[in-house]
Amino acid sequence: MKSFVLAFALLALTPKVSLAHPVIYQGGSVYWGTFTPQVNIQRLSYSVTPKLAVEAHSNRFKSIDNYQDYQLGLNVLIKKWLNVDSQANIYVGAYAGYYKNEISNGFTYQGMLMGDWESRSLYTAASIDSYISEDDIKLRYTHRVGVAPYKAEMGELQSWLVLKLDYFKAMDDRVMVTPMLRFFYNNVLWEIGSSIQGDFFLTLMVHY
Amino acid sequence: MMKKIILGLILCFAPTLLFAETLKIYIPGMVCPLCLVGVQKQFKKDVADPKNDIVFDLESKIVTIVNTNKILSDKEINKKIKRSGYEAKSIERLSDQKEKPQNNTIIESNLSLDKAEQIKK
Repeated sequence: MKSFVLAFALLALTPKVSLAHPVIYQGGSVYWGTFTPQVNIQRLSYSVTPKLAVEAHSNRFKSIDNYQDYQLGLNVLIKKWLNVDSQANIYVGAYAGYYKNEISNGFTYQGMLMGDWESRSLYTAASIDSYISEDDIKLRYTHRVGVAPYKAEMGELQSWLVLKLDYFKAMDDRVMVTPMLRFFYNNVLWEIGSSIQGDFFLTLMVHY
Repeated sequence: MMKKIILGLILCFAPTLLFAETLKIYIPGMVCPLCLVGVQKQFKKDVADPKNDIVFDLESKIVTIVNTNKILSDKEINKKIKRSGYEAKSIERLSDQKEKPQNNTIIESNLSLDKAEQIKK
């Protein structure tokens, strides 16, 4: 509930929220928050160039012994394809920091590989994240597919129907299926959904 | 002395006043309004009002920058578009109608928009 309140407060307070690219235009900053009952991820990044961004983030996985980390790292755009009506991107990220949970604490590292393809009416993205700490490696897979019911013009609200598949063995040995609605207006993006297991899902992004 | 200062100021600002122009830049791959944010940021010092002077047509993928406050070379434009994460496939220049109403022709273009349309097809 607190996450929801925080997210909506941020949405109300920030005039600009944004799209899911870990590296954006030179000089651009992104706030990116993901909220579920079990997961709370806060990301803040700054793109030094259109291919490189520095990122500070925190991950909280409540059901994994109250795991919490704070990390600093880099995101790199490996490849970008610009077609007439679509674009595709591949990103990698590497981060290091400190973690703590109910059992231990210490240094932690994270690796990320992400790919996406999007046009004005279709969207898909997949990512793998690895969370490495001392004697433990946790892998998380996410895949999204989205369809826009209409092609919005500039200045109009953009809407998407998105299906997200999530597999995080350390948390739940099942594939989490989350249908959601994605909206963006100007440079503000937010997603609202609920998994078929009943967990709410909220994403909030701001580009500024 | 005063006359020389005034003349100097006029000479300094004359190119800006005379050669303000409108740019039409074809940028494939821009699929959402968020893509324009980076372009607006890169060109914000080149126009009076970035939000209204830099507009984007999602269908044609053409960014129009109205009334630039100085002449930008192709190299500068390409650099700014690259910084926004994209590539300019064509740049069309239209003289500013307010400043030079008698001459509304294309001054320079490294690839015409017609050709860009052909590429698109």
